[in-house]
Amino acid sequence: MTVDAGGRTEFRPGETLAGAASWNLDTAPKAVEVRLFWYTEGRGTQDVGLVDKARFEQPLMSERRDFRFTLPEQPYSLSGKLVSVRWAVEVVAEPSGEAQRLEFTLGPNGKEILLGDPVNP
Amino acid sequence: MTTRARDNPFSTHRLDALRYRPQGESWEDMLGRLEAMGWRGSVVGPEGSGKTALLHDLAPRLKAIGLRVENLRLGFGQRTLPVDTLRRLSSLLDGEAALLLDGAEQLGPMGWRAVARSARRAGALVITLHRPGRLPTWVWCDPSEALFLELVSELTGGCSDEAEHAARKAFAAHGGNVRSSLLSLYDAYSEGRLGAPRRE
Repeated sequence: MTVDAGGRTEFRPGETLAGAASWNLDTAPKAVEVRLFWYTEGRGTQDVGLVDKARFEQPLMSERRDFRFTLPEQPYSLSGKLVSVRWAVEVVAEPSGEAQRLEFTLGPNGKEILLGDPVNP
Repeated sequence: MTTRARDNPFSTHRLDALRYRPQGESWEDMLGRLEAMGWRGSVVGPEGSGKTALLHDLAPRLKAIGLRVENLRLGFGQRTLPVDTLRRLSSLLDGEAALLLDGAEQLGPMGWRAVARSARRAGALVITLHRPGRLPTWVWCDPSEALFLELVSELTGGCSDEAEHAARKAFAAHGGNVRSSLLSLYDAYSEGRLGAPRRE
């Protein structure tokens, strides 16, 4: 399985993330879903927010499908000592759970904000 | 320079991904003992000793022998379960179902009796406790310093001498609580008090 966002990994709020998911599986899946979500990593309990999804019912074993999401205004991709917020699109086959993920950053200039960085005090 | 949380080898999602390591026996041996106990037993150990990780890794093994697995985790001070939850458990827990109950020490005597009654027909019942009781002890979770260092090494891709020293200190300071010790290493790493991990 592969997922791409037109070769981009940096986006600004409100932009369109357009890409394609491809898969070549051993058996035909019941469905394939492309999920747009953010998640946290760090010292505390992990948090996840599903923002949007595109679902393809009864697809072929081998296919390529386009998807398009409008990115929200927040949360920005950021990292501090205690928490990082990260963004990703993930393609998941059901019911096998086989998946592939593409990480990207969402921010005012497309970059991850580093908390405590002199550039972002 | 900020140490990004996502680069910290001791971040929670990495700790949650650590697998239970059977001590001195294989999973097959452990399951054989549980079967000999009528598939009813307790996992005993202090907080942060790996009981939850053990239950997590037990679930797919019970599924592999044909049991449906119901997971229940009790919060601090939860001395009873709501009546509708007990009813739901009673209807779900037949001979082909297993109940994995994390935090059974939270239940009061009446709360425990109600859960045991709801699970009386269950194919398996495994609970975690801080002290022995309620069900015969199946596994004692008593992590050693050597096991802790093994976990630290796995998380960091190989311990530097500095990291190993810090890990030993953390393990002693937290009285063998693996999770608390690892979180203290998270703090040390984020504050630059631990050297960069040595990657193999």
